[in-house]
Formats: sequence, structure tokens, C-alpha cells
Amino acid sequence: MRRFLICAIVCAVVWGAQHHFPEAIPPVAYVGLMLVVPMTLANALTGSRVPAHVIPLLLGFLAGGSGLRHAGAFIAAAPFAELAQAWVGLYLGACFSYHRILSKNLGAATLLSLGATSVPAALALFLFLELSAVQAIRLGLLAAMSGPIFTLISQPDRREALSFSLLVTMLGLSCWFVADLIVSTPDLYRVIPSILVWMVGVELIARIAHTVRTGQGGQVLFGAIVATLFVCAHVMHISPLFLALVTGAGVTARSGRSGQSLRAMEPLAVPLSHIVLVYFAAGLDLSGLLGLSALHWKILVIYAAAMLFGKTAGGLTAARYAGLFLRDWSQTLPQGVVVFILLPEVFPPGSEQAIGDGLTAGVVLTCGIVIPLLAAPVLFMSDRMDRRRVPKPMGQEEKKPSASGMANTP
Amino acid sequence: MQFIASFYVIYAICLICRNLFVRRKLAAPLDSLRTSHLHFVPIGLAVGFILSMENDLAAIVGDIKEGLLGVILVWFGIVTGLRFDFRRLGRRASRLHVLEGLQVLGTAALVFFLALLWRPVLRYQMGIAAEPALVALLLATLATTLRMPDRVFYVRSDLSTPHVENAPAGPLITNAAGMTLLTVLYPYCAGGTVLELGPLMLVSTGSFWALYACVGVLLGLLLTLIFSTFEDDVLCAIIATGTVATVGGLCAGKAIPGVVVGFISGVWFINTTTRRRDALEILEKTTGILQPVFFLVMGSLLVTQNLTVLRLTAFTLLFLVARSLARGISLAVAARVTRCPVSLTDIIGSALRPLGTLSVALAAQLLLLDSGPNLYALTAVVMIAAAIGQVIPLPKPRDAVG
Repeated sequence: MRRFLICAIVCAVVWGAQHHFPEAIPPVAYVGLMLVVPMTLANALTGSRVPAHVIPLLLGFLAGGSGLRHAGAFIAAAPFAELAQAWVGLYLGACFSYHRILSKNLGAATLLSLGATSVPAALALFLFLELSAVQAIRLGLLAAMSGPIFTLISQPDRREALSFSLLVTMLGLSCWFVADLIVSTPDLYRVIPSILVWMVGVELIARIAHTVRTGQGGQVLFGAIVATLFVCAHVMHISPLFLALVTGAGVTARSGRSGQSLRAMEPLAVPLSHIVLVYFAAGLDLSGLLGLSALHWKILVIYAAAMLFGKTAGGLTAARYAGLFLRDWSQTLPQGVVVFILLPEVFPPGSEQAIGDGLTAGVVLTCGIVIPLLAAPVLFMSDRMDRRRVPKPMGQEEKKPSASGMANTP
Repeated sequence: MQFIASFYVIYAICLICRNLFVRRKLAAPLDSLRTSHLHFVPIGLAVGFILSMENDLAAIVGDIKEGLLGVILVWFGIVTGLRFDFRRLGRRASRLHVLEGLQVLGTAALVFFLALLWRPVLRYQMGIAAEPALVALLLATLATTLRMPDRVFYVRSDLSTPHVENAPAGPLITNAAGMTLLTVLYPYCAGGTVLELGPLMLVSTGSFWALYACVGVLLGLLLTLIFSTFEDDVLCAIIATGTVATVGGLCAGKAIPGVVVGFISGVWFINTTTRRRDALEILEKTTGILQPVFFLVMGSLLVTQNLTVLRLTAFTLLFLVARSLARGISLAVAARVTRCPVSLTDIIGSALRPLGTLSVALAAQLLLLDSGPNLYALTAVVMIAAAIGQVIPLPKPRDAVG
């Protein structure tokens, strides 16, 4: 009850303030709101089996629809959301464990998952709906990507799940950017200086992360690194999330110990993920869903179906060859942040802006909220069955049910 | 590329300095500067200088810095308010509290009147055209404040933390008493401001007090709720920070002094929470992260201003001399009134105690209140005064260890 009271007071204060002087609200007030409410509610619903990442998404949709956010002030909060993205991206990149991938056949399972989702999706969109080849391939790759931020929020203790989800997403992103680079950049050698600068940055960050000794100093240092990544991403006109993700992975590849140091960013990574999700969800216009034509509904259906079946096939392969549990590989199913960032690039701004918004809303609702909510009871049942399958220790007899038909509880 | 390479140079220099620091022991004055986090100011200056080359980016980062400043000021107010834990204060002899309180009152009064006399200097030499009474009040209040936690170094010895619980004029409640003074007098000295709050129009001093008290108590209440609801320390710290961010943002938006609001909430919180010890530990850890960020932000804010170093230094020395004299004289008078035995060494030591983070925060509060032009000069003065104060050794009292 007290948790709901905290949320209610904070929301009422912001709502009251923006009701009377919306132009004077600094963005940091919204950042506080985006931090407190989802974290508090997620904590309140801990035992309810609701995937934790659904809460910030729903809250974001609610905030956008209910008028709790003032549009102008909310847009001004974008730099804070980008800083949060950089923090989360750097942490996720640092979690990229090469040993786990090499030792558990995750790489092969990832390739299969990516292929099983992206190829059918792209073919179906290209052949049946007559989208252009580039759009179809991009949508196919996007459908194959996952949501590691969701895994970070919902299953923070499942390292295998995070690794698989990260690997699928990073491989998809790599394909996306390489294809984009080849198509859009006529002289590829112009990219070489940027890559060299990035490598120098990775070396510096690896050396700096190596020096972290205390918790407080470490957080300040990570903050400085994140701020630098944010600035660099702005200068290079790329997403801070992706730059930080690649940089984190680069630092881990350069030095395992530095990567280990960066993993001390975890306590703040989960709360900042909430900010990222709420920010993206609140910025989405759900009314765009109503403006979708029959063609776009077909795109949505093919996208969701290809994603569901392709990833299930990939997950089953991973279960067979990499020994992943259902709870681990099912984490590749939901997707959100990559959709928010990359789907508008498939349908570029201009005449199709509203369609892009509507499709994004549809994909996030389907793949970020509905599928995880539907999968939650299945996971629960699977967990129960797995627990029953575990052999009991020798000498411990199974207790018989009581006469009233109720099972004896320990 | 040059822009990004400039950041790399800063990182490389910091890395080299850090390696030198690990291998060689710092001299006491430099160590004193390091523990006060003032070494982050030059880093902030360098970062601010580089960012100023890109106008679009500078505008974006400027908004972030302003937002952060608003939150950090409320946080520092809360941390100062935590010093007013009545249970803890009750363990100390009351005459020592009276002695400390009288010293604060005397110092504030002397510096306040001196600052009013300096009005031509402030206006025509420094270009500060803010409300004179408000500037005088802030100068008086920050003159009473000290570096907390109290780290000093005596002549020919290392940095140490003196025991303050039973020391005469030990800075146990100095900062809190100074903040109380500011809280009480702020609405009087802020000038004829009008605050529109929805359908309400606040014009009288009483209504301003009521507003600060309400916002402060609300924040304190929220903090008490948070610490009684969540058991996990990290979760408590994060949600408390988020709440402070919300309230701090709103205070910055409506030109409400966040440091005063934070102080009231801190006093409320520490005297109502059931998790006093945990709360102090959690808030202390978060403060340890926020202090370097604060100085980085301050450094990067100052670099874009057109400040005259000579005038700043001259006014800083004037302010430091006035503050030291005021502190020394008021302690001597307070000791006479309360009949506490205070030696000359104690008086000199107390007079030379350095300014701290709260002092700089009070000066920075003027920036957010947007009271007039060229207030950055005042902030720069306080930062230089704090830095000078850190490197001055204190005379060693007879019972001091080390």
C-alpha cells in the first residue's frame, strides 16, 4: 500500500505542477518520475509473475495517453534518456561473454535463430506484400533481434538468457549496420578513421576501468565514460545505445578484467533501463494504430508470426545444442528498444511518419507486452514441471496428500 | 575527430595523474584538496571549454547541467538537515551547542553587515547587480558553513578527522545552524518577488515560509516512506534519488531555493525515520558520488563566463579575511558569554576552518534563483576561497592526535 502511496504522491506533484505551469517544468522532474514510479511498482509486483519490463512500457503508454507528460518538457528530457541508454548499453556490452559463447555452442544457435526468423520474414514481406527488397530485409533483420534490456529487467540473474538475447541482437545489429554501410557509403575507406578513433577510445576505457578500486569512485568514473559516449554519439550522429553497446563489448574483448570492472555498473543499469523504456513508450502515439491500412496490418501480422515461429525454432535449437532452458531462450521473444530506434528508419520520416508510429506501437504492443504476458503462464508451468522432474535426494520419501485432498505444504 | 581527441587527452592526463597519485604520497595540502573533491573543478573547466566549441551540444549539455545542479542542491540541503538529529544532539553538553550557535550567529551578522558595506564593490567592480540583501545573506550564511565531514591538517602533520563531539566550538551543528538562519531569513531578503502557484499568488513572507515548509515536509515524508517501505539499500538510494530529482526539478523550475527545501526535509526525515543508521549510510554513499559531479558541473559552468581573475582573487582574499575575523571574534565573544574555556589556538583554528561543499552549493543556489547578472563571479569567489582554505594548515591544539 505504501508503494502505491509513494507513486500517487509523486505523480500528483508532477501532474499538479505541470497543470499550472507546464513551461517551467525542467526535464529532470520527469526523469525522477520515470525512475520512481516503475521501480516502485515493479517492486510491488515482484511475486506476481508479471514480466517486470511490461510495467515501464505500460506506464509509458499510460503517461502518454493520460496527459501526465507535457509534450514540450518531455522532449527536453531526451538527453537524460540518451544518457541512460549509454549507461545501459555500456553495461550490456560489458556483459558480452565470449567464453560462454564459444564454450556452449551459442554462436551456432544464434545464427540459426537469426536465419530462421529473418529469412522467412523478409521473403514473405517481399513476395506477398511487395515491399522493396531493402525494406523487407531490414524488417526481417529487425524481427530477428531481441530485447536484452527486457531480459536485464525481468531476469537479471539469468546469465545464459542475457548472453543469448545479447548475441542475437548484436548479430542482427551488425548485419543491419554492415548492410547499411555498404548500401549508403560509396567510399568505405572513409570509415577507417572513425574505427581507429573508436579503438583508441576502447583502449582508454579499458585502461581507466582497470583502475577502479572503490564503489563511489567507480560510479563517478562510469558516469564520466557514459557522458563521453553520449557526446561522441551526438557528434557522430549515431544512437548512444548502440555506440555504448559496441564499446562495452570491445572493452570486454580487449581486457576481461576491465569488462569485469564495467559490470559494477549493474546497480544503476536496471533503474536506468526503466527510464529508457518509459521514455520511449511515453513518446509513442498510440492513435497511429487506428490509422493503419490493411497492408500495414498485414505487415504487422507477418512480422509477429515470423518473429514468434522463427525465434521458437531458434530457441528449440539452442535448447538442443547449447543446453538452454525454456526460461532462457524464451527471453529472445520480446523486443522493444531496437524497434523504437530502428523501425522509423525502415519507414523514413515524411509521408509515412504516422504509419511508422502506428507500426512501432503495434509491434511494441504485440512483441513487448502481449507475447511476454502470454508466455508468462507457460513459463510458470514449465518451471513447475522442471521442479517436479528434479530427482529427490535419497532417503527422502514423498509425502502423501492429506485426507481432505489438500497437498501437505512444507 | 579533433573534438573527440580532446576528450581522449583529458582522459589520458587523468590516467597519468592517477598513476602518479598511486605511486607517491601526496603532500597534506594537496591531499586536503583531493578529499574535498575540488580537483574535479579543473577537469570540469577543461570539459566545459571543449564543449563550448560545439554550440548545439553545449546547449543540450547546458540543460543537463542545470537539471543536475537543481537536484544536487536539494540533496546537499538534505544531507545538512541530517545533522539536526535531536537524539544525537541531546548527548552533547547544551552549552557547547549554545557556544556554536552564538558563533554562527555572530559570524553571520558581521559578514552580513560587511557584505552590505561592500555593495559598491560587488556592483561596480564585480558586476553583481542582484538584490543586495540576498547576496549579503548568502555570503553571511556561507561564511558560517564549514567543510563536512571535517577533515583538517595541522602544521607539520597529515590530514586527519578531529573528534568534534566534545570539543569546544566543534563543528557539529555549524552548517545546520547556518542553514536554519538562511531558511528563516531568506523570504525577507529575497526582495519583492511574487510567486504564482496555480490559482495561488504568493506575495507575503509568511506564504513563502509556508510553501518552503510544505514542500520540505512533503519531501521528508516521502523519504521516510521510502526508507520504511524498501529494505534493499540500493533500491532505497535509487528511489530516494528519483524523488529528490522530481522535487529538485520542480524547485529549480519555480525558483524555489532547493537547498532550503532539502534542509527542511532532511531535518524532518532524520527525526522521523526508524532506519536512522541505514539511512545515514545510504545517503552518505550517494553524497560521495554527487560531490564530484557537482564540482565537475560547477567547473564546466564557470569556463564559459567572462571572469577577471585579478578582481576575483582580490575579492576572495577580502572575503576570507573578513570571514576569519568574524569567526574568530564571534567565538571569543561566545566563549565569554557561555563561560566555556576556549584557548587562543582554538580560536585561530576555528577562524581558519575551510569552506566546504555546502558553501559552494549556497553560492550556486543564487545561479538557479536567477537573481541577477554575473552571479558566476560570486560562485567563482567562493570556490577559490574554499580551495585556499583547504591548503592552509591549522595551529595544532595540545590534545590533537597526529
